[in-house]
Amino acid sequence: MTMDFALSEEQAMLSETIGRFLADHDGQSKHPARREIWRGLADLGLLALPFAEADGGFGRGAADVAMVMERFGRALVTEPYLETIVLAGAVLRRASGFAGREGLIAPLIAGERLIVLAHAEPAARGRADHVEAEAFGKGAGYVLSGRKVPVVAGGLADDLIVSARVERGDIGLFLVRPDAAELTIRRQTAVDGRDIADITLDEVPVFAENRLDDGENGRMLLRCAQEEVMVAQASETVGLMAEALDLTVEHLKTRRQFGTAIGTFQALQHRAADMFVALEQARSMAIIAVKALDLEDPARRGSLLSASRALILRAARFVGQHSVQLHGGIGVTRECKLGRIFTRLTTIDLQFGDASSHLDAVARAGNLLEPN
Amino acid sequence: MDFCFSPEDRQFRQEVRAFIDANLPEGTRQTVIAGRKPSRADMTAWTRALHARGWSMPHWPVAWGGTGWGAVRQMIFRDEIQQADAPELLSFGAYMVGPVIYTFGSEAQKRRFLPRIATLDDWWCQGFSEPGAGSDLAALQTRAERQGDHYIVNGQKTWTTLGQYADWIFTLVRTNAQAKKQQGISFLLIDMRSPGVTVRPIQMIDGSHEINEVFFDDVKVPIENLVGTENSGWDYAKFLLANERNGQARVGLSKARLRRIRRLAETTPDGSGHLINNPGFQCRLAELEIEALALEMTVLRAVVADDGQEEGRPNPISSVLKIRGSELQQATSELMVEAAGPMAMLLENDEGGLAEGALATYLNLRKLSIYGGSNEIQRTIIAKSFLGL
Repeated sequence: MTMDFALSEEQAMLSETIGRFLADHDGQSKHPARREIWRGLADLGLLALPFAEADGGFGRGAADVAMVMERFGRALVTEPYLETIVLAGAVLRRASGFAGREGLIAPLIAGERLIVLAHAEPAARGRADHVEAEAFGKGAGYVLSGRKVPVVAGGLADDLIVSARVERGDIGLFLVRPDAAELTIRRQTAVDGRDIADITLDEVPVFAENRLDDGENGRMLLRCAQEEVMVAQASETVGLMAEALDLTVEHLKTRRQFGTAIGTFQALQHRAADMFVALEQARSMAIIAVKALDLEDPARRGSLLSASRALILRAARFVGQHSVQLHGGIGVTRECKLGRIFTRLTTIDLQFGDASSHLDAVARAGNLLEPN
Repeated sequence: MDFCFSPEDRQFRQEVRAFIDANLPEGTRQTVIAGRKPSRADMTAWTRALHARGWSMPHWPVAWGGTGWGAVRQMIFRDEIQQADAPELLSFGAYMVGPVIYTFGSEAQKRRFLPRIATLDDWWCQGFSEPGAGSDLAALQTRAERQGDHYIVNGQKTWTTLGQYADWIFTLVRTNAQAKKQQGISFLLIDMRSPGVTVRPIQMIDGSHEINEVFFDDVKVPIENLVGTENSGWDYAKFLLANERNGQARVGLSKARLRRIRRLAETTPDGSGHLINNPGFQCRLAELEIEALALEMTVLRAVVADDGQEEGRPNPISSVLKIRGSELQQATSELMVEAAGPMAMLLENDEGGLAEGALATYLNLRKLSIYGGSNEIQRTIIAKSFLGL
């Protein structure tokens, strides 16, 4: 077996196509799910990427999704790919006992419906298995109550997948219509341009057939979704950092002060070199994350993914903050792409567990390095 | 990071590991753990054991005793040597002058020197740095004047690692004082037993005698000891330095030290519990383990990308490896001292203990970010070659 960490020919071609498409459609859209872009992503086949061929998808793995996410990071795409295709998709792909599965996946892949996982809660702080929302059996179905926040793209969703503790026991997943009368959505546009929903459920009725888990695998579905989103976001972050460094180097070459390009100053050169080193280490960790996803031992997989996220998020802080500093005043404006990249790098740290919590997870688990 | 390698490569790793287990003397291993330099006799015995297996110079051309392994296996071999606390190959012969000789040397030089390097019959040391030529190596002043079929060498080299054991020294000397500074330099091999060669030991902050000054007073060197052509020495030096930097990440050493730190912390009392349960310490340890994991992948990426490329081609990714690798080795040696805590000064001398030599190692390893092209030089290389600044 030969080892190769570069993109395959096929991946490179797709990556290039995505790059061209995004260049033609300015990634920073006013509306986070501007339908034209979303349809374009569907036409490119990107929405179908991780779904099985039997479900109308392309059956591609985490490496392909990672490549797409790196492109999205570079272009600062705000469309809710991560929230719908990666996160909700991970649940839908595995919800084999759920009869409505095919009816949801087909329009999702076609770009006709947005399905969003409403799982986050204030106390969870990114933990996959912390759920306080509750579901109780009532008649032929359930009623759901609780608060889901922040739910990125929740306000744009045609369907929500809501996690809740069933009868104070295990975690279940339920398909909920956002226009239900017992459900309130407060929407905001976040600092990174994303649509953020604060969702309150007050005894929302759900038919029994709209329960996605099989009564036992709710936790597993959420854990898989969390793992896949961590891997995907690792590459988005690397893409954002790579773009930040490129923009910064370009700025150092063109910005003149004291009669010379500021990139000739050694203090700034060395700062940029340190950013490059941090980016290469982050890139390595994004590769490790993709490979770790295939490991069978869940504890080992979890440790490696946490390690990957901890290092990448720290690198993101380092590269982001120094990029702003080296840009000078223009770096703290929204008209500068770098300013917007920095903003996104900052919000990434707030979902799915921040750098400190994942470092803590690695520390508690111990033995990140294999025994010798 | 086993899961990133193919089953065949994992099998190969086991083979290397088994060989080291069966052949590395425990005393030599403990010397390496304690951060001391193995004696010349220990080094020779270990090199000969490797040589008997055909592994003493794995990366050399097969004609000169190499193994023909691909780049990934070369990496695994070095990683296993480091993780097992086995002595690394003596770099001056194996990675520095050896490749220069088989690439640029005469047939006579190859036949004379290469077999003796492979068995460590000849111990080589490096004569590049001078008091006035550190990062600015081309400022070197040691001069060689042609007199008949000899050069007469006068000058001084410094930071000569393990020069006290050396039979030979490979040097950069100025053979044309008029030329631009890089262009008047030649690559000369000098017998350390030549009259006029004096070695003066320099004691390092850890108390060790690892480095020396070497003085040359009218030393006669036969012209057949010139490598390649006169005044082309700078090209050979660049080739050599490019090879030197490629091995400097040495993640295996950091991984081995991190495992020892964990074992030490498991038994080190901290109040009424053990240090390993101290959350602050756990986080420090986890941070370095994560860094080691990432660096191992960065090395692997560089190795795979570099596979099949010719030797001595400068690859700026090696600057990344040098910076992070040296920083990680320094940080792990620091954490080892922290783990030993106030007892460090006693445990330092605890023969066979996990913290043996911890303080000395920490002090000694400050050299890593200074030698082999200081980390500041590496940052400049990255800024210029990757970033185009």
